[in-house]
Amino acid sequence: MLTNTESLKYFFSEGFLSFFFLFLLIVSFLKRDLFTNSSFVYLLGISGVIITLILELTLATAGQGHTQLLFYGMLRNDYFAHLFKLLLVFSSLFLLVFSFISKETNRKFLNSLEYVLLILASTLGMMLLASSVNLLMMYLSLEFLSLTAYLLTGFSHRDERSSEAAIKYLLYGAVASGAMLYGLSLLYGMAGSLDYFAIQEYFAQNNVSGVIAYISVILILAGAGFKIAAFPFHSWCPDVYEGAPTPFTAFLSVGSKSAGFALIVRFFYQIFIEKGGGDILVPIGGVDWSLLLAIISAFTMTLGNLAALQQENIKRLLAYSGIAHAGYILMAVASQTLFGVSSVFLYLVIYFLMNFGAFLVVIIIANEFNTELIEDYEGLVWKNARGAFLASMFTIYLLSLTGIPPLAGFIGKVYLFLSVFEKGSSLYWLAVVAVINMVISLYYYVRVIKVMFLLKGKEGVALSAMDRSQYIQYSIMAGLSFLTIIFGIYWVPLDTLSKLAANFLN
Amino acid sequence: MEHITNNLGYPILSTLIFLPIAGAVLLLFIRRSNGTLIKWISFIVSVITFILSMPLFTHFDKSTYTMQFVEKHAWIPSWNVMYYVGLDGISVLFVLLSTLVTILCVLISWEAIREKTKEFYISILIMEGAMIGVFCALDFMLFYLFWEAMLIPMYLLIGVWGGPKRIYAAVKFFLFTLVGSVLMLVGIVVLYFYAGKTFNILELMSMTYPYTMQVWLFWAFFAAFAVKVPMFPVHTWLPDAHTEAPTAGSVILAAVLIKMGAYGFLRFSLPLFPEASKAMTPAMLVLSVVAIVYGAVICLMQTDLKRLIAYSSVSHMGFVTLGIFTLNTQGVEGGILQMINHGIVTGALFLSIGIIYERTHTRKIADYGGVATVMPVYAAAFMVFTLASIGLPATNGFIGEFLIILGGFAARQWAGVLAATGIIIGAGYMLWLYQRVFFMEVNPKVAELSDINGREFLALIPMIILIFWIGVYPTPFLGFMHETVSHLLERVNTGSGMEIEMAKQIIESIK
Repeated sequence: MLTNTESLKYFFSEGFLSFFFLFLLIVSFLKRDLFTNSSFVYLLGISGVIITLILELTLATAGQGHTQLLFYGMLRNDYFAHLFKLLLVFSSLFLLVFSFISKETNRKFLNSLEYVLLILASTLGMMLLASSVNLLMMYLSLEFLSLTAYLLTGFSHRDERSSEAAIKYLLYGAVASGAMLYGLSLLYGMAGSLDYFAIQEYFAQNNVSGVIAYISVILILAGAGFKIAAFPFHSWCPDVYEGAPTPFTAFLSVGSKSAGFALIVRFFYQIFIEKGGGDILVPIGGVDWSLLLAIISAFTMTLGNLAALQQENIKRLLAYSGIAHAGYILMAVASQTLFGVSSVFLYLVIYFLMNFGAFLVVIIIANEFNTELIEDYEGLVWKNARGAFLASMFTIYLLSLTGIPPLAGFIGKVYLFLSVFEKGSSLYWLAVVAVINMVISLYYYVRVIKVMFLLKGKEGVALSAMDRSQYIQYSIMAGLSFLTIIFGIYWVPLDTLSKLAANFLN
Repeated sequence: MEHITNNLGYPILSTLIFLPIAGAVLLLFIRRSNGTLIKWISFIVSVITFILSMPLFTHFDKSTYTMQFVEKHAWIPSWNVMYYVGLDGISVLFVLLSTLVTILCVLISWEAIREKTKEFYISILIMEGAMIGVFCALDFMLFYLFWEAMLIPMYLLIGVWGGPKRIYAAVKFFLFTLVGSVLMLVGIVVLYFYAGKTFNILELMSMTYPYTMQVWLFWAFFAAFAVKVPMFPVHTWLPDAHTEAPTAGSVILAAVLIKMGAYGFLRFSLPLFPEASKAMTPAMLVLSVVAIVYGAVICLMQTDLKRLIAYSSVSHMGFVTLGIFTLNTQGVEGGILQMINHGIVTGALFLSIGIIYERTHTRKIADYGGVATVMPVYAAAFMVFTLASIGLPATNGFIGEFLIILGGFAARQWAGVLAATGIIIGAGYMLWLYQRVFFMEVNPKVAELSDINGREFLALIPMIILIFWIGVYPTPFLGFMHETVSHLLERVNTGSGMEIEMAKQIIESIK
């Protein structure tokens, strides 16, 4: 356990980000007109995030798997934390780049600097969330992330939908986090400590009354489930996704969700699990959270998929599909195995690729047609070379989301299934539910493909030709789909990384 | 029990799988406006693939049941997934059929596909690679990859270039197939865990599984294969898909795609779950016989050319599954041969219908009549296909159906009898169809038609040759499968060693 000053040495990526944030804030007070050019502001933000990324990467590779407890045991720097932080910082980077590309965010905002600063702040919140091993620290980082997210959702001042979404998000979030806080206090009351490991030790040595532990876990799940949009805390999700600026929606569906999963995995696997001999994990604490999560998972995916069937708006469709995917990932969390933990990370990486890709297409189409309705995608592929490119990319992402081989999404799904089977026969039913859900999901993903490929294009809606100056968006899209295909065929690198992520339990 | 050989010394199967895919990638870079070049490239690629597949025919060692032309490489070590391909007597003919049929599909689409030619030929070539991959794969992960990779190009072939109700047909095809496949995926995962984490199909086949597990898995795999075959009652996607697909799509569907279901039964269901397969034989025989008779009766009332042939496929594939589940040598060999035959004959029928549809743009039987007077060469060729479809002696259909009915009688008398009635009804609807289209007075709608040209004749002639070759001298073809089939049946009929295990335990307990 390191003291505060010693910890700073291992904290320099977050440290840099905080410093950069404060520096920009202070400079903007002193010299306001320096930041009128929004492109400049975005580039500034992007370079800040890239530096954070590089620092985090050096920290992760230099540590050689050394696990450190920072700030008297508030944060834990292990491979799990590093890998999740990298994933989260990457998603912030994509958010900034997408915001730069999207007309919705790059043209309309009066003050882009605030937008960028809020993104930087939420990045910091996520990084802290991934590594916190103290109930208080976890709660504070979660709130930090949530508050910035509320602001960013409502950032389009003039847009009614955006404001409505922000208020909804805020109200739901407040209730969820209140419930969670109550759950945390119950846990503290039982175990007498805020530290994950102290609580774990308490549970390992004492028999706890199930009822209070259950109440506490369920209440905490309210807060965590809200973050990942799991049933029954999902109802904010479609409205917020629809109302928020599209780049931020993409971020919410990937970045903030991954952070939520980091929280859930850490919470359950470091408090309610004891390491047995070998790779065997023994659940402790008198709560059958595996079953609890399995039930939530089954409801989440079924509800998400059924609701997605009738969506007319592509952002709402992706929102419900995101709910369903949260359900899939919860299967692996519920498995109570090391393999389950690595599958969670692996799936999140793959989900990152395909979901950001899908949203990028949505952003570009919105730039062009100013629409988010699926019917306006009609005949996209036959319009011109650009339409063909966009539609084929979108198809790859959507098929990957469905889980069709040879795309990465299929491999991710197989990992999730395998982790359920690894757990043993008690969760077989969940695998069956997931399979049925995969088929349901096929219907609405393929409906979008059908609209793009099989229907004749609408009259009079022309698509502007391929523009070489927009090479950034094309190369990002091609890169994401390339990785989606490559990881569907050769996923050893992902496998190695995800095994590392599960290392934190040792 | 791994016996592996590759007596050619070079990776022939990988070449066959990836050459068409490479061709498809090459097409991506060609300008859309350059239609002729696109057609020629896809034609040349498919011909080269066919020529390269010839060594499979000439160098196949018929004296062994082991896998041949094997390639085995590590792929994902942590999962024990391998790139593992090889052929045996069951699969080798299907690879040859796939490479041949692709050439004909390219030829027949030469004039018919005028819009979006580039995407069309890309889909066809990707289909070819995936189809060959399915027949070669000896690793379940690899198999599933190819199995699903066929879905998207086929979906596009039907959905983009198909007839008026193409969208409905395409979506129906996709949904039906995927539901089945996903259940199979769960089955594969269960096997993977039970067998100690291996996807190696040969290794999995050498194991013994508990009976209840076998039954569950048998039905999980059945879901995937029965949809593909298609067996009654999950056959309803086929008439829609066949009818709406463009000619090339129908030909691929009829000749290769629906063979994969029956191939799956032979390759996976029987050797993996021998006890369960044996126990499920009555159910399978009933479903097969229902498909034979029901499919044939439905054919009698069709007014649409393609729909009629589609339902006749249901009936004919009923023969195939019947043959497979008789579990005796004649039945199984007849089943395999009948798969090839059906591929050739139905493929040829769809090609012929495509030829005339291109001229008249109608599939209604009532719009035809007297075509024999206008197009004599075409009528002669169609006659050959009709007779082969009925199973006239000296055509290939006779050999296959004869063997199957022989096997059927040996297995269950009633199955043989009912299957034979299917042939009689089959003769009825095919001859009646021929009469309505080609004889009677000339319908004014077809009076001006020109006979088939050289390109079309070139597409039909290989089929005619094969029909008579197999019909008169089937030994070379049956020779491919003797060893493999007898090995397979040995495993099924003596069981996977479950009884031996149990007997051992009883002896132990007595001691």
